[in-house]
Amino acid sequence: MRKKLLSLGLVGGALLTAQVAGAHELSCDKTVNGTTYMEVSGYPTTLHYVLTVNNTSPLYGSYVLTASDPLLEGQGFSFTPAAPFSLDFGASTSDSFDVVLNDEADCLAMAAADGTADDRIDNTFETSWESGSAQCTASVVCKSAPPPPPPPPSGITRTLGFYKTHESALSQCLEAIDTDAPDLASVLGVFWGSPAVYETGEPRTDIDRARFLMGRQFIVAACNATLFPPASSDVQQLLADAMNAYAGTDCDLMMSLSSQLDDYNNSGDEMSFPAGFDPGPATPKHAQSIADDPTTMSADQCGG
Amino acid sequence: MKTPISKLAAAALCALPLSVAACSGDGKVIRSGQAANVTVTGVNTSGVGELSLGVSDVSATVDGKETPVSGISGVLDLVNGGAQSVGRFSVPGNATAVSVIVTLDDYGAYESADGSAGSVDARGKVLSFSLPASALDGTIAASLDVGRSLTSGSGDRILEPNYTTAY
Repeated sequence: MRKKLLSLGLVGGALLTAQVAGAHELSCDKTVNGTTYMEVSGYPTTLHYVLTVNNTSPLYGSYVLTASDPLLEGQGFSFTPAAPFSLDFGASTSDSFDVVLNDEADCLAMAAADGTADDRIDNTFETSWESGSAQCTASVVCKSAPPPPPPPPSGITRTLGFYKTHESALSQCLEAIDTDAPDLASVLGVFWGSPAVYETGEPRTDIDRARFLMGRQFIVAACNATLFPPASSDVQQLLADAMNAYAGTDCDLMMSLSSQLDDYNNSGDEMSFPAGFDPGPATPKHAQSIADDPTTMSADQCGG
Repeated sequence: MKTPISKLAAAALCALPLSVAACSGDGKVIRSGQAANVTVTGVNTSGVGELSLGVSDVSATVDGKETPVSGISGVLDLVNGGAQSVGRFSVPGNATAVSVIVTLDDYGAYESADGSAGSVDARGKVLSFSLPASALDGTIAASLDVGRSLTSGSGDRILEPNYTTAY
């Protein structure tokens, strides 16, 4: 469908280009219920998407070759006016589409339709002209209809993003765990390092990437369990499973455990810190400056 | 599971150094075998002092077939870094369609001009580009609109990418 639209757009654009002079450019906006990010917890509910194409050229009209939102198109939407169409300089055109979610299952089904089976409806609106394109996104997070049960006393957690920007909290974690724990710069190196490449710029192997991704979620989970005890038996088991997996070569298992650890690390992110705990300020610039990724290429390969 | 959590965490973290170490041209027309360069620039950065986003992966396909990408960058500075290359790949002269997906790392970081700072939730976010090979002139330049892309969530900031691509 996208290819067909593009082909049609190119043909239409080619036919019309002769009438347009000079460079032009588009931008786009996408909102759902007036914002780019929202959480849904009450059902039924209506998601009101508004998609806008703007001609940002101060001088020239533009031809919009494509205007497409594949996820919404799967729900029956098609952008109107249909591309290709012309847009005067400084002008915008919008279309809207409503999606009714009757219950959480509806929401999760739409979230899965974006290609990733999670609790987020992520979709991108894309518009293109003959020499470029613009993309804009809006997300909806599916929450359970009834209010979540009261969190257990040990439910406080913080995410990888928190620890990579809060050196003081991370230092407290490392000190609480063991004096032989890795130093702050090395742990920050893993947090700030790239899953794609080693510090040398060489691409990570698949197994090193899986270990890297799971390893840092593991450290965060260990910090959460240590700084905000007690951890549940499920969390302790998860940490033990991750340790075992780290020593093996089952990359699929490591990626699965990485996702489970991330879920745990996000589960209590909105809870307040316990009395007396001072996380210190967020210092991302300094944290990044001292980060020193210690990882190097291993000789292992992904296996069963 | 009888192991006390502190001992378990200690054992696990202390194992990390070993285990980690053990595993531990713009304006040019593309010709056969010539590299296409993908760049990302932050724009509309007013009020944002720092924005660092990691790159988790860069993949490219030419006519539907995956092609190797070299020079994949680690962390992007989207306020002060200018146009930063995130990867390069080769496009044969007879190619017709090119697609690129830049997958961002799960969490980035920001610092506002007023000094407030924190993390940026970019889990699952990608920058993707599909274009006819004939339109390519050597560089696929993406401009991320920082002001439009950073959204306040229940915790820190959330990234909802809003970007344009020129080629």
